[in-house]
Amino acid sequence: MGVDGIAAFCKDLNVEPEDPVMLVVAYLLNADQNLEIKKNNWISAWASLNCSKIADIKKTLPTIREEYLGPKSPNFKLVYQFTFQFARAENQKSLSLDTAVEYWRLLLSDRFKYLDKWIQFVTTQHRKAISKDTWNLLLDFAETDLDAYDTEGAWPVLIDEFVDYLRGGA
Amino acid sequence: MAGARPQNSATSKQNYDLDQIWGDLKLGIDEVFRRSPMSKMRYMELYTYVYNYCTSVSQNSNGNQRTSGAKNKKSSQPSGAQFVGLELYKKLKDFLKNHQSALLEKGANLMDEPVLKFYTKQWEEYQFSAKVLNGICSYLNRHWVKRECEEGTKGIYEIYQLALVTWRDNLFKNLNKQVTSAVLKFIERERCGEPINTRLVSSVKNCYVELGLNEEDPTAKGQNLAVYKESFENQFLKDTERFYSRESEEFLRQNPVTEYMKKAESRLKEEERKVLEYLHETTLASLLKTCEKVLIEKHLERFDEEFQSMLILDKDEDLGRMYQLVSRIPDGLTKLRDLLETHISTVGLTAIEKLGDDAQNDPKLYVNTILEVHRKFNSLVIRAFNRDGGFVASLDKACGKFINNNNVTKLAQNSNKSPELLAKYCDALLKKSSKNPEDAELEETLNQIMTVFKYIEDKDVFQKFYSKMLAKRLVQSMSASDDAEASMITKLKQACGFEYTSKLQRMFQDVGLSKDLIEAFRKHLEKSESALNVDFSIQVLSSGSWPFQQGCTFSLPSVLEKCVARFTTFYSTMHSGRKLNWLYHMSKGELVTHCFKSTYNITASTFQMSILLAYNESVSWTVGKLAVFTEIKEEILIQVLQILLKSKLLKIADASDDAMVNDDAIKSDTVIELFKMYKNKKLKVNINIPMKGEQRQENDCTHKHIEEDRKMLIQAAIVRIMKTRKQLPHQQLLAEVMAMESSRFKPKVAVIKKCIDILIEKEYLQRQDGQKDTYNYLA
Repeated sequence: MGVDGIAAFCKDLNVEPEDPVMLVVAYLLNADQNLEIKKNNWISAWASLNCSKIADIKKTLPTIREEYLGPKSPNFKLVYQFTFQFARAENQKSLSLDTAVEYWRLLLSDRFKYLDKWIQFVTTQHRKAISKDTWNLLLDFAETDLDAYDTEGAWPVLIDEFVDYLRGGA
Repeated sequence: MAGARPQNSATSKQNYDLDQIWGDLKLGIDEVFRRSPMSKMRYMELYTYVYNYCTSVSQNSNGNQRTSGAKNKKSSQPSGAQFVGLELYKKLKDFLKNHQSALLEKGANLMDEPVLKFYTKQWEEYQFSAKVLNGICSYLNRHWVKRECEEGTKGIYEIYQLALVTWRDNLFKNLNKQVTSAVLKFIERERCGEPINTRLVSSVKNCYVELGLNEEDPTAKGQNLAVYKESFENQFLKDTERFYSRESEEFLRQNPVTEYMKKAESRLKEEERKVLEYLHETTLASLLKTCEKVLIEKHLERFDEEFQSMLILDKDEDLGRMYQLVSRIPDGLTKLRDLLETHISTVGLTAIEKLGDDAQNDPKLYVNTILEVHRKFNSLVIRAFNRDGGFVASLDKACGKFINNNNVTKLAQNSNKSPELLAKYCDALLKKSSKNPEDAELEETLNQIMTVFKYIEDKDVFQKFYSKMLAKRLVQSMSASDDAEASMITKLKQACGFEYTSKLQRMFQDVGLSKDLIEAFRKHLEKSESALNVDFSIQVLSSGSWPFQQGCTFSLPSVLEKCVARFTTFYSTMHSGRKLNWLYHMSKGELVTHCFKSTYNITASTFQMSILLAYNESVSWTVGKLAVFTEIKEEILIQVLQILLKSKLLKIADASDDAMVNDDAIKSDTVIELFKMYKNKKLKVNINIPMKGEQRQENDCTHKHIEEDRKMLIQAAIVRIMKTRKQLPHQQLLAEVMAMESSRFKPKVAVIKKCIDILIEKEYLQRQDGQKDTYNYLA
């Protein structure tokens, strides 16, 4: 199933393609970057969710939404981390900045209160692609208290620089 | 007098009645105690009384006790013998008691010095007499008393000891308080400066010591100090404490600490002497402790305060005294050590701050300032603090602090400034100059540099700069003395290990080899037919050890090209398979001018030469054309031209002869011509001066290299550590990396973190799932 199929699929489900839930779907289906989905994956994924018809899928969507995107859900991490390799182009180790920003807006708007500042920082000061480590740990960072942040701790350097930036430093 | 004359016959079986002999015996003992002179005869008489008495009863009974009679306890003792010995014993005891009571009456109301005099006199006489008595009764001692003791009867002693015991129980018990307080008063008087009769005190001491006998085992030899301690020492110590507390408080209130220390010192000496003179030696330890506690420990806070101001005022002698005093108190020195450390850092930092901006560019000033501070406090530690380990450590820590982080490094915003300046200073010393110091002086200065080097944290920076400057010196033959160079390298090797200096050694070797090579090349030229018209010498350097970079594009003037070609062929015949890279930007040559009024000998860099030789072809060139001709890149060409213009060999066309050269006045189409009116006072001119821009570039380059090298080292260290540990929490990893690299430099946490990030990217490390603070090694 290709991109168009996905688009049609979205329409059937009455869901915008930009809806984060589609990311969850992609995750569940183990879609790769180009939204190519293998038939087997398709079948097995939906089967595990007990859906055999589009209508079923529609019904389970809210549950999926809750399970993966809900504010307290532990599975959000998996989806978030999956998004990194989903979103990056082929043959590249890091995620291009613009794509990263887009996906951040998509996923982290409710969770990361410094999101705007972060995006500003990253687009003006850093201006380079985002490494996997930084991407993954940004979620951890979003969940930690800024006052408890330790610059000598195991954070990636970019996040250290961001904290400096927030605190009025560099 | 009227006593019956005893019949001194051993065989007589007379029953000596105690009462009979007692009369005369008692008189005799009286004489003894009155210290009247006694003849030997009389003594023997008395002795015989006792003897007869003891042996008489034994005749009554089984009769076999007359023999030596030592350890005969098996057979049942006839109760008669015991009884008799006991009778005599009791009588003796009573006698002594009475004697003592009489004495007591006489002395009961005495106090102070009189009581002391009385007591000591009586005691000495008594002691003597008791000994005599003991001698008289020695038969009794040897037999009856001994037997009794062996049987375990309590309260029976040898006569001498009996005398002591009775003295103790009768006289001593009642008088000792007065005697002791008299003694203590005496001692106090002495402390206040009055001379006292120390003999009185020491006799009292002797008495007390004598009295301390072991009641359980009267035959035990050796001193028992129980009485001494109880009746005297404890009080003495209390008294001492009280006295000195009071004295020290008052004194401190009215006098400065420095004076107080002198007083304390002398007091302690006094007390020591006292013990030697008239107290028991075991008292020394506790006495000193008490004094120290009161004189020193109580006032430690004041001392600490004073220490600070003494440091500031450089009062070395007082500092030494304070050290001596405070070192007696355990842990008393900790505070002082910390104070010293802080003080030294402050002094060091202020000294460097005072230098201001000059220090950045004057290595000699900077290094000398540091050395001054170090020298001053080093001698202080040696002299006043007795080279105490703790204080040496404080000095080291403080020097480490102010040498690596001071005003200069702050101004340069780079902690690498310190080692850089140190290396520059070395360079100045080792370079040939008009004022080279003597060998011995040079050696001394180099040693001092090593002292500072010890404290530098970033030793790798020093190495980089030093090797760069050494390379320049070697290539330009500017070393003042090869011995000095070698000695410096040996010192560095001793301080940092072989690896640190291996490249430097190699450089030396290369210079030596090059000399041989030139010789060989010259010989080769002589043998061949075509000679080079140019005096040509080279230096071959092994690229791994020398910090030089590749030169830029350049085309050699044709004259020189021949030389280069010849040498290249020659070298490849000697060492085939080696490639030669010519560093023209480091080379230089000499030109002889024939176009000016006088013939000048100009030393110029190769670039300058090629430009000047171009003027052989034409007197006027545009910059652009020059660039093409010499194949030098325009930016570099312009810089070289500026120097040539400054040297006045060339000038900008249409500009006045004295026009100042503007940096940006030169463009591609500027026409530059030879200045035919060139004049110089000297005939030998050196225009081969380094370009300013070049220098700054080099410096920055070096710093960048250092940073990169460090990154590599850190990454290598991280990989090494993780390979062994497989898994490690973040903080521990940081700690281990720091420890590993500390001998070369002090890694910054930010840099280590960057390296960790890089390694995660490269997939050497990964974070532990769920524990983002722990790393795993990925094989």
